[in-house]
Amino acid sequence: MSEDVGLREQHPIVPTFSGPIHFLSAIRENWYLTVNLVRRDLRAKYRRAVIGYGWTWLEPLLLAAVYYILFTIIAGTPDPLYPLHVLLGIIVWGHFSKSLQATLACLQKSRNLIKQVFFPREILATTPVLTQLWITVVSFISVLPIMLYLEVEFSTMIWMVPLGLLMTTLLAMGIGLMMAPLNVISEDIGHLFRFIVRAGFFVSPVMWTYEMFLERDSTGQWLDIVMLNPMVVPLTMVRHGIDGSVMDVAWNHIWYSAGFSLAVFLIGMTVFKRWESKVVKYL
Amino acid sequence: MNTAIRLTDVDLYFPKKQGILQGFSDLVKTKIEAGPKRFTALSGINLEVNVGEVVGIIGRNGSGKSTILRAISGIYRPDSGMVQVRGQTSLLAGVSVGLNHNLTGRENVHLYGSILGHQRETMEDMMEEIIEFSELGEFIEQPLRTYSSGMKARLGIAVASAVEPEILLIDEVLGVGDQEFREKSKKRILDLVENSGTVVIVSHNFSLMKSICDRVVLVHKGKIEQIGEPEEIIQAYKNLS
Repeated sequence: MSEDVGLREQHPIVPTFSGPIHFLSAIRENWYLTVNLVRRDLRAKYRRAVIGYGWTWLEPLLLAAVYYILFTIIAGTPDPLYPLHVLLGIIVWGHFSKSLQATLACLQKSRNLIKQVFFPREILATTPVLTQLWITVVSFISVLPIMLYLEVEFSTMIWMVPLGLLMTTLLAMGIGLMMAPLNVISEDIGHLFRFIVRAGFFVSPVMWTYEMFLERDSTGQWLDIVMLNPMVVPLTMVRHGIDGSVMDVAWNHIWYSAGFSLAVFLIGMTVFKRWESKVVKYL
Repeated sequence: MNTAIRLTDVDLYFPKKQGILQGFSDLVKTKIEAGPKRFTALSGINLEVNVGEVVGIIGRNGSGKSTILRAISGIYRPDSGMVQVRGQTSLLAGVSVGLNHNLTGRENVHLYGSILGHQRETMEDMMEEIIEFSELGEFIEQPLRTYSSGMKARLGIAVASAVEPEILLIDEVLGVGDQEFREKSKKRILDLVENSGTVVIVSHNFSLMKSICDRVVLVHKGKIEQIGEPEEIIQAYKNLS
């Protein structure tokens, strides 16, 4: 069988648990393509808008203003840093929900491309997240005027901002990756997750903060239940990273959130790698 | 002689109705079998293509020609059987699908080139030739939305055919642009066919098939009916109808 030397199987089935390794190495090997696709998506996003990139800052600012006014009317004047906290909450939550929904829909969105050219489909799931990450990082500029106004200065706690964003990104992408193949078979998944993300907005500390919750829950009986939501820690980390105050969250809650995000990300890559080639036939 | 492409007992099904439960169970199953709820796109395909060979595939619409190319290129995984290849494959199909309206022609060369699996340096080396071949001139710096459909097709062909792959798969891409460009792109494809190691081409252009193919495969209803000399197989295809 000497003539078979060099023949390789075009559709090798990789062992399930090595999925994440294959996933990440596909991204590394196709980095040039990934970057080109991110550039394409960024260009498409604000192409017909006069303000263009300005919307990245304007959108969270306007949203935060609306929520701030609403909340002040309902609950009276809270903490002076509340506007800053709402703005950060909106930026981080927006990053989570947009990354999740973009990953979830990545296969349908590129249906035509997938059917005409072969390239690792992992890239299609990664580019929307990288695009969103770029937008989110840029949108942090909108925090500066509020910080200036509230006389908040940068502190050494700033390292918690990238860490919180990383946890958010891994969690959103992980869930999106798990659900993307299912969403090809039934778009009900997409509708379901639109609902879940909306509901998550209220049960996560976006309009409220971890500290506000602690004040209300003086006996601590709800704490463990609220902390089951893996988004509580990253949102709180980003807030303390910006305002520089000490974060008073128990280590077991922090480890839980970090571990949960990482596990979801690893499972997401495994599931996606295992199922994407099957669902291509459903596109 | 060395084998470049080998398909062994390839079966491939598509889901007929998008039944949700069936879809979910398909994901979990390790093996998918034929059944009334599936459309059999390919059934028992055995094909061996040698290095340096040019093989044509003919058959009616929906007979499975394009699916064979897509199984070879890696887009569809067969439900049973195996596809093996030697070297990099490149599928030329629907050449404007990788282009984007918001990017300039030059950016699109990089984008589409990278989708086809090429690296930045390769595309930069090929850039001048691509611009020249596509006859875009100054327009290369303009966003694609300002292009006519002919210009887009020219750019697409220019990029898709710029780099010679080891295994070239062609799916009916010759009918774009005006008469003059059609001739030019046909010549380009012929050059590519000549220089590429191995070629599998799907086309309805029988005179082209006769002139370039070493062998032709007749596909009918997902099965290989006959493999042989171009003349003979084209005649067999005509007798089908």
